[in-house]
Amino acid sequence: MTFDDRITISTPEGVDLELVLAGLGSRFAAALLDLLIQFGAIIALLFVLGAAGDSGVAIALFFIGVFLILFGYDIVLETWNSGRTVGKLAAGLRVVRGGGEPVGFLTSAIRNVVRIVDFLPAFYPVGMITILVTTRNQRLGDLAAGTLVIRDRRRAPTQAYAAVVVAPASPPVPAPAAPLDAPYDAPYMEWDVSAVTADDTAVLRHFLARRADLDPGPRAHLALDLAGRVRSKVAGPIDGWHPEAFLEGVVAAKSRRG
Amino acid sequence: MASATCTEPGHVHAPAAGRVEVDLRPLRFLGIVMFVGAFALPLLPLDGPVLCPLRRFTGVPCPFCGMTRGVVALAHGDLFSSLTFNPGAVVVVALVIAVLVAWRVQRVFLPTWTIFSFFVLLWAYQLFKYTTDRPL
Repeated sequence: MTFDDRITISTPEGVDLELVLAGLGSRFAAALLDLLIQFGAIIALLFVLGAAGDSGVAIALFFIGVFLILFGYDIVLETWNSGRTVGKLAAGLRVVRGGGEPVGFLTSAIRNVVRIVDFLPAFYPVGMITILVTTRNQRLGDLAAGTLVIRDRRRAPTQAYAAVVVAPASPPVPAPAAPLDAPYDAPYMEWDVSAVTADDTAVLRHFLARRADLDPGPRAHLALDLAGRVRSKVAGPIDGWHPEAFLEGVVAAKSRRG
Repeated sequence: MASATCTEPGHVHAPAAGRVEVDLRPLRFLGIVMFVGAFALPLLPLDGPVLCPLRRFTGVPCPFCGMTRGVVALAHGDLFSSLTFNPGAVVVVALVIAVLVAWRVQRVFLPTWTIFSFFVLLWAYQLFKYTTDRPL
């Protein structure tokens, strides 16, 4: 049971993707920060063009600038920063399409033009009501563009590694009771891995084989995720293992026992 | 596959394209607040400041200008002035009553176009009043 609004998307690959929908509060905070930035940019523009005098050209440039700041800011950042404006980044949010794909220019443009209607009559009451009322927490712009705003907080890899899957080390890994021979020496040979399926093992092998090619962040996340999934299927003294060492152990134990 | 795996509350599956799934529970709550407000507002000593910034600063009405007055008028049985303030008020009050009567329904699916045409029609009406110099 969870108190977040979650949405499950079935991908063509047969994998169910679970996304956590952003709520009203975090979206409000993100919008507030974005609006402050846009407001600051408009004031800066006013100063720059004010220095140029009040010619017709300066006034025209001012209105073009305001238009670009109000619409371009969101569209450019959402398109080129994987659906995250500065406010959304700070609030840990991301805009994605209904199927979880990243937003493109057109989708982003639609949702940000319809923002005018969401904003009416002042600071998003229409948007707030539609977010509250639609089950996928969409404002009108999201409905028009078919987009979702999801929670997407990326933890730093170091933090992810600090929170070791298999509970903080109570005792250090104990020595095996009765090693049969040299290769069976390792502590993971004590683990009961019979619940780990052949498919699981194949996935773990695949990860272990290509982990050197991964960046540290994704590598840590993936290791942590896989270890979390496999952990419940393994019985034995497994507290305090580093995720990757744990995965290596599971694969080794599995291959020993066939 | 997907629909079978997930019966947990708070878990949402994508509705068919072009449809929105509307959760009626927050709508009910907002509707009750609106009705209480509609009866309480005339008792308060405030004489309609223009809250809408669009109308306040440019004079152009937004689709929702007159919504408060429309709902208040309707709550006091004045259908005609409610319609002239904002016909959307009648639609909103009718919807809220429907939602309150059908208390046990939790979710409905609406075609997305209905929501957008509602806003477009309201704005068209407001701009018609504005361009023909009728009282907003």
